[in-house]
Amino acid sequence: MKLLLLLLITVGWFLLPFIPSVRELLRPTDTEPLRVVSRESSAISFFANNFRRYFLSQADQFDFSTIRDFEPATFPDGTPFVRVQGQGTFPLTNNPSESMVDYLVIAGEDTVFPEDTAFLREIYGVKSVKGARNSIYRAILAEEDLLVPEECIILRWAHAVHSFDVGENTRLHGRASAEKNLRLASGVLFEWIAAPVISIGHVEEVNDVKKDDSRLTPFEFKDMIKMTKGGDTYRSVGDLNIPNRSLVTGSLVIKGDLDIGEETVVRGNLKCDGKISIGDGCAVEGSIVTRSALHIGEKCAIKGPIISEEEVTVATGSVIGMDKGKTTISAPNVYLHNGVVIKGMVVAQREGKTV
Amino acid sequence: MEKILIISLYVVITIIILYTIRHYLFAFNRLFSKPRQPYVDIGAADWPSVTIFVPCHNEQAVIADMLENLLRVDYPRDKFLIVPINDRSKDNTQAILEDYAANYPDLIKPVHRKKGIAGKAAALREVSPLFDTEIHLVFDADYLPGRGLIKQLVAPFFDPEVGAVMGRVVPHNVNHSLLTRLLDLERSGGYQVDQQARMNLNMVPQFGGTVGGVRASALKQIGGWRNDTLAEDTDITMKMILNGWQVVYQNRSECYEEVPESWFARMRQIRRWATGHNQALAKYFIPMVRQFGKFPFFTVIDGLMLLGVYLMSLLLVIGWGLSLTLFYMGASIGTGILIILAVSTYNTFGNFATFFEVASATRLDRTESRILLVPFLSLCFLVSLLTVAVATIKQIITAPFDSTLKWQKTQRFRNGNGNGNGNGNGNGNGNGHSNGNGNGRLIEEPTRGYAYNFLYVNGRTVPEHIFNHDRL
Amino acid sequence: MGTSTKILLKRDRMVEELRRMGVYGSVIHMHRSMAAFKLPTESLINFLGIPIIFVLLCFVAFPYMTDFWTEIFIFAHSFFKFPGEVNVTSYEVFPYYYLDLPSFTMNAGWPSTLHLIISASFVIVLFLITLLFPDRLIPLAYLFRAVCAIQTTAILYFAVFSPPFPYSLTGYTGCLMRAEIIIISLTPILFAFTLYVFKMSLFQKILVSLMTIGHLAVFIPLQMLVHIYLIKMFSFIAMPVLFFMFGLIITVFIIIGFYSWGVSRVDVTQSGL
Repeated sequence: MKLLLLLLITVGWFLLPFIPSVRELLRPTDTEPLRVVSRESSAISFFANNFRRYFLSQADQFDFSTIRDFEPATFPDGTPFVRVQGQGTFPLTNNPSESMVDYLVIAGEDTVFPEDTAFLREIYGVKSVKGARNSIYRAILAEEDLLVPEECIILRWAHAVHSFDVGENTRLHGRASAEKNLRLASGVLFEWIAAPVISIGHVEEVNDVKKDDSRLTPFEFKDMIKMTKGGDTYRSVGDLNIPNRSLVTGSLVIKGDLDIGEETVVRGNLKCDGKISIGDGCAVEGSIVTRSALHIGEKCAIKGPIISEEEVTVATGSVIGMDKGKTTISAPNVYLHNGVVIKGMVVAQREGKTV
Repeated sequence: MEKILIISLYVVITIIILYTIRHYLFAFNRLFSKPRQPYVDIGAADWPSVTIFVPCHNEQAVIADMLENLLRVDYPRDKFLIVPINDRSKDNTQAILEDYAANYPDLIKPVHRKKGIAGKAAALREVSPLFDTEIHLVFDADYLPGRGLIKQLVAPFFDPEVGAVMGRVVPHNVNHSLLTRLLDLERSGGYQVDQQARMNLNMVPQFGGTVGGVRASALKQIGGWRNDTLAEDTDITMKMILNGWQVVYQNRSECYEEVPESWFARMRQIRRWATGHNQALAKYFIPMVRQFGKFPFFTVIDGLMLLGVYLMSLLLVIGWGLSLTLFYMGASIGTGILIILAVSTYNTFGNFATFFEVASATRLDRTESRILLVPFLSLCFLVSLLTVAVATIKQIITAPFDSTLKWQKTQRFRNGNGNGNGNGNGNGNGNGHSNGNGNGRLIEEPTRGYAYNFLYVNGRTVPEHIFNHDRL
Repeated sequence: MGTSTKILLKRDRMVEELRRMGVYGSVIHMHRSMAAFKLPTESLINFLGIPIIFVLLCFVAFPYMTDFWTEIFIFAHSFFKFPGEVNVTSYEVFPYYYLDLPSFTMNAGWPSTLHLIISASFVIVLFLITLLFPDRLIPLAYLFRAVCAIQTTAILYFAVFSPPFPYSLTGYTGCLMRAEIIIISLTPILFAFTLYVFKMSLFQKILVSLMTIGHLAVFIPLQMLVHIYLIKMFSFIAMPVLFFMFGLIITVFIIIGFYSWGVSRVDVTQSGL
């Protein structure tokens, strides 16, 4: 009996720390599977499309004939909104000195947005939207063109169904995309940008660049090992310098740094553990992957995806991607110089900047 | 005799301590360093051609859901082929597959195996050479891939050095029982921490044979899928690494799976994994040792430790046996207080390592109170440990290199309505994927933006509906 | 700092807040696959500071704790009517650090044939019961079978070998208590590595350590008494299974229990680099 008592006390005391665990076992509170985002595709306009779907579902249930322009109203789900067009006074938050608009904005044609104002909810532009300088926008969807002028900040995303122009020194957090052209002025900071044609600053011509092979010298894969029998991927342990005007037919896996001379054409993919420097006027028909930094010289043409684990710099006049084959630049830091054209998307995990 | 036993115990403890250190190292690395996923953001590209193999054996409960999900993925249709490999199913699987193939003749091309060696590896070995695409992806039949998953899994192959890619497996039947909840914790630790840390540290992430894929040319170079192994995934991982290819783990590429709902099924599963993994250990230990000096030191160490991971259970049991023997012998395994200090420290830190790893994973996953079940995880470990140890002993005694070991399929438990629903019009069948709450009357599922004039509300265009009003 | 710089900094802070704020006031997190924790200075200070303070406090408090254990042993001695007396022996628990640990002067006996028969019957019955367990109780079945396996080794040992047994009851409890005290002092260090590195309030961090140490300070003498009682009652045949299955492992299991609670309080919203 005494032993039983001792056992009971000991076991009881032993079990004390497990009370929360036993409670969770018997009355589960956290048994939902991790939410895997099944609908997410790599489409950069994913958020914009979702917002459009949401907006239209609300607009469908609302009788707009009951409200005036610039007059606050509420959607069936409780979201406050304001319909605006032309010139007018936006309703500000309780503290007017902060210049904040905490309403979803439905912008009609020729809406004049105030400067120095923060828009804390989305803006839906039924046609084109012209933002005002020095303002902060949470998100904008323009069903035609979109202009975000200088010194503005986009907090989450911005999408134009036609063209999207971004003024100097504007910050584009999150995703910025257009379904035709996206034009970025200098000094623009960005994270994710995408469009059939992204142009930086002044661009002279936007064509797929074709290189003439006749004056090129075939590159010899000396001291390099073929990765697969009959394949065209070659591995090299140290650094590699490829002379000017070479023709490289095959893919390269380089364990050191890679320096490609001017006007060289690479018919394959490049992988490098070290830095890659691509000279002016080069063309690479495959992808470029590096664990270090990548510098692409002037007037180069790169067709495949560009992946760097540190930094990508693209110099003036280079064209990345093709009209029929869009591509991606992905790196923690991406610096795009004036005159660069990208056909596809650019993802800068840390900082993207137009120079 | 006593001395030999003591030295053996020290050897066992040393090896276990190395694995303990590895657990801590992985957990700290994963917790405090930026996850390395260089390829995951590739969204636009000239995508290569892909074949998705789905080995099936009596999968009528799950295969329709799987195909429905695959049909919805975002990938160029002209570069995309689904090949379910029906391996002698005795249920309705063949009929379901034929039904889908009839509805999607360009996308789904099932292969029905009637002879040859049974099992996933053998099925892949036989069928994969028939499809001449650049990339071969593999999914088990109970998996539910999301829309963006295929592009994410293909993206790493733009790196010409990448031979195999692996995504993260996420259990979706978590709420079934204590077992499924514990397996969810275990999977979190294994993928969110272990696999990602290996990726961060440029070590050897493991290709898991599902939610992943291989480069067809690399696969051909290493001799294709082997049908004489129960762990074709470990086999592929090791051969890829030894042949200079990289294996990439991509944490962002998540896919639902169904974890075993009964302990017997779980034990069968882990027995198979252990046996197959140990086969790989026997085959690749020496070749991996030879890579010292050729590959980075820690890559080789990690490769060796990965190979030996299922041997740990047996080692632990041996450790217990040695401790017991020495206990009965009254042997002093060391002198004085220092040995008590060492034993206590080992007991505390050693036993804690895996729990820390799982805890780290759940904190990164931002799940809530499921971490409270961690104490029960020790029971799960005990079952796994003893099952694996017994399987390993049997394997050592009977067939260390046996190539005819019997494939035992993991039992499926889903109670969905996917059976025979092969008409191509399913809506996900409660598969855990949210289909959103968009109003289908307004717009169709958009894959790209719409110009305003295509959008109608109440029979009027959006600008008309919102701005052309006459009451006020 | 100029006025314009201040305005810009204020704006940057606002932008940072707004970026992470959902439209309904929720917080937008980085996807779990990309998340990682920062190791702020505060965590580093906690990481080093709390264990140092706790270990020092432990060293100061251990003599009082072992006095408390002695009191429990004295009470148990009279309550259970154990033969002999409560003895206090000074042990070196850490290098150059000695503690007075209680024990009983009595010893246990070599198992009789009856002990062996009872023990063997217990093993057989327990094993057979585990065969009847349904699927969901498999883990318990394995736990019991592990107990059976160790107990079987004990039966075989005591059936084959003859006295003396290499251990005394006093030596056994002394050794186990020393190991348990070391584990107590290691707990804050273990938590430093596995818990304090996370973002949670200092109060919670201290509370988890205090609760764990406090719990163990009470549990260990109770555990010792159970071990002593059972070994005394069933002879040395009970010692192996108690030592291997219900000794240090149980202590670590308790720490895991507190740890799981502690780690469930971690502020996970701070993840994201």
